[in-house]
Amino acid sequence: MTTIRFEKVSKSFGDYNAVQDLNLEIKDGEFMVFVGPSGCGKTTTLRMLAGLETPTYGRIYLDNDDVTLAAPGKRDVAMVFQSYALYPHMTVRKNLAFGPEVRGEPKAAIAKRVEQVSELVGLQSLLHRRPSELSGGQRQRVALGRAMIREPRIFLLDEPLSNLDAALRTHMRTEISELQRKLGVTTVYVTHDQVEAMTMGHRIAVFSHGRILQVDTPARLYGAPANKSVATFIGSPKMNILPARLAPGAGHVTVNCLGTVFTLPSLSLTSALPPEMIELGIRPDDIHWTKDAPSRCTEKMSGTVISLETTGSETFVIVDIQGVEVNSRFPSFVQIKIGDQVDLLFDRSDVHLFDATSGDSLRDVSSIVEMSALSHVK
Amino acid sequence: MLNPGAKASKESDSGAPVPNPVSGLSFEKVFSNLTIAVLGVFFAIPMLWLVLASVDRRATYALKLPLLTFANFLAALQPENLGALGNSIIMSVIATVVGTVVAFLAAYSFSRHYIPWKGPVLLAILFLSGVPITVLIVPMYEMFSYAGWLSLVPTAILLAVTAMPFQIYLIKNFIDAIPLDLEEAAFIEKAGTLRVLRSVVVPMTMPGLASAAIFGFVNAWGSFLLPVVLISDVDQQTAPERLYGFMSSTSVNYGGIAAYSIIYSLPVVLLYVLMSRHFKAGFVLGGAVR
Repeated sequence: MTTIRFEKVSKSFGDYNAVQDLNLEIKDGEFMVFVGPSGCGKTTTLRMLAGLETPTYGRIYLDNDDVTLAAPGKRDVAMVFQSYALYPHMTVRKNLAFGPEVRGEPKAAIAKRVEQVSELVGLQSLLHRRPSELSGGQRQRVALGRAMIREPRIFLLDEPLSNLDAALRTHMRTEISELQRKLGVTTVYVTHDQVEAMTMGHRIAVFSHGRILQVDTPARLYGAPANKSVATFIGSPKMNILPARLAPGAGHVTVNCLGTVFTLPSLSLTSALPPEMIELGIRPDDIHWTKDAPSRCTEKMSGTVISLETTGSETFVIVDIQGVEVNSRFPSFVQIKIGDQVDLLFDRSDVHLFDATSGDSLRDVSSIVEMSALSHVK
Repeated sequence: MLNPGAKASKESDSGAPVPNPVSGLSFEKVFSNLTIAVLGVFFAIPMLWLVLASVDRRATYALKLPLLTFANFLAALQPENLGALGNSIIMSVIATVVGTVVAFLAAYSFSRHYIPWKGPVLLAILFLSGVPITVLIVPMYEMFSYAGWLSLVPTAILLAVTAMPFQIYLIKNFIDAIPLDLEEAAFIEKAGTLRVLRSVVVPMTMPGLASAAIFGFVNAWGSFLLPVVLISDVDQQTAPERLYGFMSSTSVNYGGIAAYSIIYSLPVVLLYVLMSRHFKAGFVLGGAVR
């Protein structure tokens, strides 16, 4: 039963600031995912939590214990490394039993626990093998089992699925989520894969350049991104970012984007004095083909098809609208080809507005989250 | 014909597949094999002399068919000769154990810890491994004499020190190759430094430790000058010194020298055989990562 708290944590390696002024609270039993591109500081943050790095500034608390300077062994955490870090000279059984043996637990208890854990992760028949005789997925299970054999205060997982093939990754994703739910241990999971983050996390912290951009539930991250970086990082394919103009009116603002003009109530904006030049974000999922659009979609854009990408269940069509490429989702049965003129429709409540310079969201999107985003999360 | 190989790789008229042609003799092959053969002969002839002379009643420095006898071996197995072999074994084992253990700990620190001026220090160590101990023999003698160390064990420890620079380098390369993750994983399990060394680093550095140990042993085993100068007690004489016992001012007992040399080389051969398992295991990183 452990909460985690970062207070103004920074970490520098020489002149390079890996993590800057990090404040974060992780609740008891929560599955928290750190996501972001490589080099964004997420792994460094995890390693500071494990005690493998010491923060340059700030404090880290587990419950109310200040563990900022505590050695890794003193924190009672279990960690799964990206490389798995299995001991190659030991069998699977020895790998699993190593931790308990080091801590001087009784032999009979260790043997029993090894059996339990190996059953839980499906390794019973492989206990006598060495890591070199296992497949990638099996090694991953050993690494997971080694973390689970103790009952730690927190689980730390550093990109544990990045070395697996796509099918196995999807499978292990659900297994890890399931295990975490069963054990109820506070878990921090690092990944660069936004799909992994969206499917597994209770909450997600999006990192960029050593800072947290937003911490929120998957649904709110998708529906109400706090800025352009989060908006383009979360969701696949990427959100379209289009140039637009904003004109204030009485109780509303008029948006002009690539020739399409529509109004939005002023109340839905975060600022009373928004800039004139803005960027409009809209997800490919929210742009529909005229013949397939829901009736709430009233705003229209037209353009020329320049490329098609079929996934089977749907077709993503890139349309050139006044020289800007717009990705949109078409149904898979649609019969179009490159060079065709198409009309696209969207719902004005699905658009995101971003400050062109700072990238911050201008829309107070809390109202639209419940309405549309929940149904889109994959 | 555009492609002369095309026909050969196709099936012949009878339908059976024709194997690809094997390249025949070439100048490079003949030349390299001949060179190796000549070098081999250079090493083989003295060995052959050693074997033949050891069982020859009238052994000389010449290579000739022996008049069979085992008297040479009986002479070589006299108690004082065996005692010298025992001294050599004690001295070499001490030198090996001390040298390898200290070099391992030093190599671990060099590999893993922050050490100021690490690069220059390592470079200095590398240079030291090339300096012959002979140049220090006079001051060393003075020092040992002053401290009253002119005996077997201090000499063994000094021999360990002479092997250390090379051993540190050798072992450090092996430790460098161990992923840090493995040690970190053990630290998270509450293992202390000594436990991590014992359970993770040592098993994975085994091939390097074996090489370093053999180097240390052979270095001490073959050492002549240091024991001669630094061991004053005749009872503590080592085998290389005893070898000179077969030579007097008037005659040389070639048969005895050959027989004793064969006995003297056996422990090293045995050591290689025993340690070969660790070399064969090769580098044991397989499955550690990924």
